[in-house]
Amino acid sequence: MPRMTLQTGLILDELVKSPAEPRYGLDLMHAVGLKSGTVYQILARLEKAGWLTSEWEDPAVHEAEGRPRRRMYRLTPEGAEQARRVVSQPGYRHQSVRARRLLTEGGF
Amino acid sequence: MTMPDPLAAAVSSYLPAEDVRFLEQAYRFAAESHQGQVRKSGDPYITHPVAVATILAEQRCGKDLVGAGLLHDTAGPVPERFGAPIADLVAGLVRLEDSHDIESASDGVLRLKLADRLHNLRTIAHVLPARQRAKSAETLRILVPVAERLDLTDVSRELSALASGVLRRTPRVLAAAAILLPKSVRSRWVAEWTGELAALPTRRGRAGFVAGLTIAMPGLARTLRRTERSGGNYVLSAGAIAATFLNTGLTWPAAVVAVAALAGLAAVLFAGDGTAAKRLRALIEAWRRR
Repeated sequence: MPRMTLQTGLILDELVKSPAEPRYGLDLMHAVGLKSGTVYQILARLEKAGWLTSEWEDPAVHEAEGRPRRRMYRLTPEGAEQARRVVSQPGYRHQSVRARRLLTEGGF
Repeated sequence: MTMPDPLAAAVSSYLPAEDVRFLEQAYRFAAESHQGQVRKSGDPYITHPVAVATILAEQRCGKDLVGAGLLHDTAGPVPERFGAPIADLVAGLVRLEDSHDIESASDGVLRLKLADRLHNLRTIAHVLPARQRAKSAETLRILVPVAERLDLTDVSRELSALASGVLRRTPRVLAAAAILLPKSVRSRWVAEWTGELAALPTRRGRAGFVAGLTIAMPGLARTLRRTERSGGNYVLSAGAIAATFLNTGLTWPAAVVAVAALAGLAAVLFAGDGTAAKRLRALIEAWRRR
């Protein structure tokens, strides 16, 4: 069980919206509004716990777009189940609403 | 004063003697005009127009385009004796650089611009990093497609290799901080971040990305190391380090001095040059092998 912080919850919340879709770090940073250090640390922790898997994207895709390859993350079946559980907890729901307001209003 | 060899050989291989003599004069004028000027690399400035003209000659361009390569950076208008076509090409290049209007530039001006950028990218190591990135991004976005449209396959390939090389370079701070990560996974994370950095458009965004990672690096290293050893081992090794300190009979004030000295050593190592990170890494690795 990885350490559950509010930021971890926000990331899981974002991932669980479409569990089958692979996401990359920068994309999650922008979607959730967290800093690089926070996001990659959470990704590492969730991957280690087996909630996420990651792989390099298909070379055909990034070469066609003329940019370096991305590392793509996806929820495992266990991760998806746990993520749904975490984000449906009343405590998380309450906190995340406040946190989102702070993040989007640029409180810090 | 005669044209340097690679250029002389290139133009004589396909242009009539008359045109070669004409280019010889253009070269002399350019060399006098750039007398005393140097490139950022420290090379005499004339090496740049000569290289641009050589690139154009290798594409077997006509005498006017090669001549425009030689004269494109000379001060003031191109003298009348070199003819209107060269003057137009050079004026067109200046206009293009002011307006960035690719659409209204002639193919000749675009070829001149591509050769100019190609040599500038070949020698970009001497330019400030932020400018290197800006020029490289612009090259990929605007000039590589132009080279493709003009069927200059070799130019397009070289431009895009040089420019993406600059954009995919790992910032030194990040490479140094990543030393904390376990060796087995270090290159994966560094490659991942370097790739993301290339996608960030602003300098401010990239600086924030690198700063955030650098600050989080010790925490990330702890997270990743826990996968390599069990938590118990981790505590044990911390205990072992503590015990070593105690065994040497250090009192607490002495320990504080020792830590400060280590920090000082690190500061001295990093304040030096680019190889400092490598030296620190060698030190840490020597210590880990012990």
